[in-house]
Amino acid sequence: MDINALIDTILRKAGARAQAAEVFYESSESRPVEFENNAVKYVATKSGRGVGLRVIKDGRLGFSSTSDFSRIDELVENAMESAGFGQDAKLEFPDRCEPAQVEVYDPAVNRLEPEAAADLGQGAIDAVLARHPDVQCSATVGCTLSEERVANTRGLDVGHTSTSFSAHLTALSVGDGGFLWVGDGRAKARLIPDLAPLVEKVAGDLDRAKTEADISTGSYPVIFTPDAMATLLISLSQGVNGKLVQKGASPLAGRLGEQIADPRLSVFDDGLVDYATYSAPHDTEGLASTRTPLVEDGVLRNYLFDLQTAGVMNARATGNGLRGYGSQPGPGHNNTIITPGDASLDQMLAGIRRGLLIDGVLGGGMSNTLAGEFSVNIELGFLIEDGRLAGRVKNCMAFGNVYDLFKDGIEAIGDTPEMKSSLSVPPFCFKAISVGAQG
Amino acid sequence: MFDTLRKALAVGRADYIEIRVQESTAASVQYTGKELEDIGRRTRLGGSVRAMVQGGWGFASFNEVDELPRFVRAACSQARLVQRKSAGLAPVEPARDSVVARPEVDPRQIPLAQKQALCQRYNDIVLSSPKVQTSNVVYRDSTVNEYLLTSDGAELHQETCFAGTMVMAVAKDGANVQRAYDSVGDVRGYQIVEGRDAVCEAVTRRAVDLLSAGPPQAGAHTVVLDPKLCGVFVHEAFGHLSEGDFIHENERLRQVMTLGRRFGPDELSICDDPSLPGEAGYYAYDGEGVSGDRTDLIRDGVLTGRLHSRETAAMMDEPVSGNARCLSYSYAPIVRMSNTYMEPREHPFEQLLAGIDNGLYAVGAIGGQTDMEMFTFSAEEGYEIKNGRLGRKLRDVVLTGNVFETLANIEMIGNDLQMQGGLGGCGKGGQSPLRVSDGGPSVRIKNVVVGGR
Repeated sequence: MDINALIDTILRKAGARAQAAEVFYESSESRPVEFENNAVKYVATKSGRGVGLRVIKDGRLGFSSTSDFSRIDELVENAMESAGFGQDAKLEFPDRCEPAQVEVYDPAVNRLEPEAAADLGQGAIDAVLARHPDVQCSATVGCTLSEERVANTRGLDVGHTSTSFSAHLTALSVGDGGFLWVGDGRAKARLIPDLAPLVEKVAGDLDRAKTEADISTGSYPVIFTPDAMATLLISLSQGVNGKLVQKGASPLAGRLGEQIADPRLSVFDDGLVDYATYSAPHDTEGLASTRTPLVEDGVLRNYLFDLQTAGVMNARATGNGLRGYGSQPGPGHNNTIITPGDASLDQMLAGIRRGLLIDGVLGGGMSNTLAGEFSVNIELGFLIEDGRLAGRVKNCMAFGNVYDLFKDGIEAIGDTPEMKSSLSVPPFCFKAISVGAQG
Repeated sequence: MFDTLRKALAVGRADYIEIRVQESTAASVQYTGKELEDIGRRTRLGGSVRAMVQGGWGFASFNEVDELPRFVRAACSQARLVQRKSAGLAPVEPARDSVVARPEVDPRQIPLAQKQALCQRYNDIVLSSPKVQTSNVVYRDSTVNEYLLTSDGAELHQETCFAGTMVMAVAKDGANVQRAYDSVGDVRGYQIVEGRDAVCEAVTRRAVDLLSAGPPQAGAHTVVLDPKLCGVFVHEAFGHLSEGDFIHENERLRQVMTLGRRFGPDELSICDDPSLPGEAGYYAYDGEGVSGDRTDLIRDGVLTGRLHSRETAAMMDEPVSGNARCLSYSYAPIVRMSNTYMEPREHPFEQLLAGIDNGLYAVGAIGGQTDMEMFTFSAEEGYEIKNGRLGRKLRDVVLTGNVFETLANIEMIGNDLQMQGGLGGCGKGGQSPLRVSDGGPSVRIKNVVVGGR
């Protein structure tokens, strides 16, 4: 199938019946190798492609999509029908794009053969088993080649090809006390030739979790590791989403310029980090990617917008229009970068006489995250006694409000950020978090 | 279609080959706040090939259905890269059938304008409350025609027609934001999404009332779950433990899940049944062409069965259950639930409350998650139980616990069974949302940890 001819045909047919038309084409081929119970189980190739057609007709937006390229007339017809009901268009499709300079393609990822991916994964599993022979490991090692194109009747035609490599390793330990899952993963545009950090994390967690400790219901100082911080950042991520701001559902609506957090907190949305998993030269509407301050020194600076939402809000689009071919663009995140602080993990630990270190949670994102509430099972957490880890705690929950914590609850921000996929965040130490336990 | 599939199958060399092609059409309408965010129809076409060689699997998914033989060869050669011990696939009678969807009212016959008008009416009801900040009203239908051909001789056409709707109200008072929702969705037909004005009013009221509700007292409580939350508990906390792929190769887990082991009181029975007509998890044949039949998972408190694909059934030398399902052509079938529920008993709701001096009634579910041993559920709302009566309304009610302890702690099972489908579904293995239904009656459980403030 000639993609240029396909895009031209769609734009011509739709353009003849509407003020403006835009085609978003997406294709990807991923080659995951999946391991189950310590051995390879699946070698797969997953390819997919499709087009989304957005039109502006009589001032209204219409949309349809298909992966069946023999049904282009139906696609155009469906988009026209949709425009009969659609929202008033508050945007103009861009007529050109100056893509940002950012590395998103690594030929080594594209060249990775399934045999090599299988060796990488098996090597990591064997290394965990060498230290913990009784656990069951599963893993996925995969690479993806993706292509995106956006073209419209105003003359824009821009696209890029990117690679993605990902590796995930999980170990399950079944003991008298029940199940323990530990895992680690990485994703980036570049090949990760050595999975030793994942092995160290998984095997190390299994070591650390061997001793168990009890904690009773109460309020304690708590360290959230970078992995666990992801759960707390869900609320902030929703709060700055332009769509939720537009709907008035975000508690951050109408508060630009306000001190919403501790002055030590700075958070950026960044689409320009070389080889990071959510980096791209442009978004899916053809706007160049940028680095957008969300919170700077505790002050709320920006919301994230796609074109239409920005139009409705009389704001400027931030290059955050994201989508798959099957849906219309909406505001979405690139990579989230938190500026590190000045405390080492040892310093944080040393300051705690009795508290918790939380590394993994269950149930994140299920509570009233919009309001900042979190209430999570501590899946992997450790009691801290006199600055030392004193065993794994089980059957307990941590809960509170993210906005309150970020405003008044930060004891220290770690000096060493970790970036495993799209999130670069240091550990955080909070003064007091409520913990519910059976005792 | 089968001619093309047969020709493609002939080019492959493997112990087992399975070819799937799906054609689908779908319509959706979505209001968020005042705006109609999405409306329209769309089409999809795609396929996949799965091949097994000496226990190793190759898989290829694609949209270029006209190049099918190429993908058959790819899946077979990928399977050869995998070396693995295997018991093969459990034998089944190859299905040769054509199953046509029979919705009472066919959503494909309803004009888009009527679906839009329905959503607009529901949306207007939600937005009519001054305390409602925003809304979310979604309608979705999809009709899938699937063609399945296997090297074992199965030749199966199945049509599925799903329709459903979801209504959510977001109420706000200062920084206090509260949500309530309701969702229906199954394969009964378009009629199930109609006539839900009263439900929209109830959802709106619930969200607004939550603004003035307080948090629960943290700690361990005797808890009564409503039928909806009971269903989520049955699916999330217990159901996933019954899935054969999780346990088939793991001796120690097999010991935990030994058939015949007691898991709860005599009153407790849990089953999975794809054959329940009209329910969201209904199917005649699963993704491997195996007839979907009822499986008793727990009978009278004792573990009696589990869910299998052909592979896991062979591995564990147990009967096939017809529970291999895939979300769409781009995924390989894995062991999944269908319609999973706890059987009702004779106790009316008031009896469940009686004798609880200080407890908690948890209603509805925002979500649930489990790591097999530990589960966490967010109830949509809750109520204090004081001296056997419902008291103050509560919000941010999150329950957590160990599934084995919690099943053993079931004290009383109600008589008010409800099944719940909806637009959501199960998310196992990244294949989300797979249409399932879960259910149960109200149920009373002691010593459940509740998160509060």
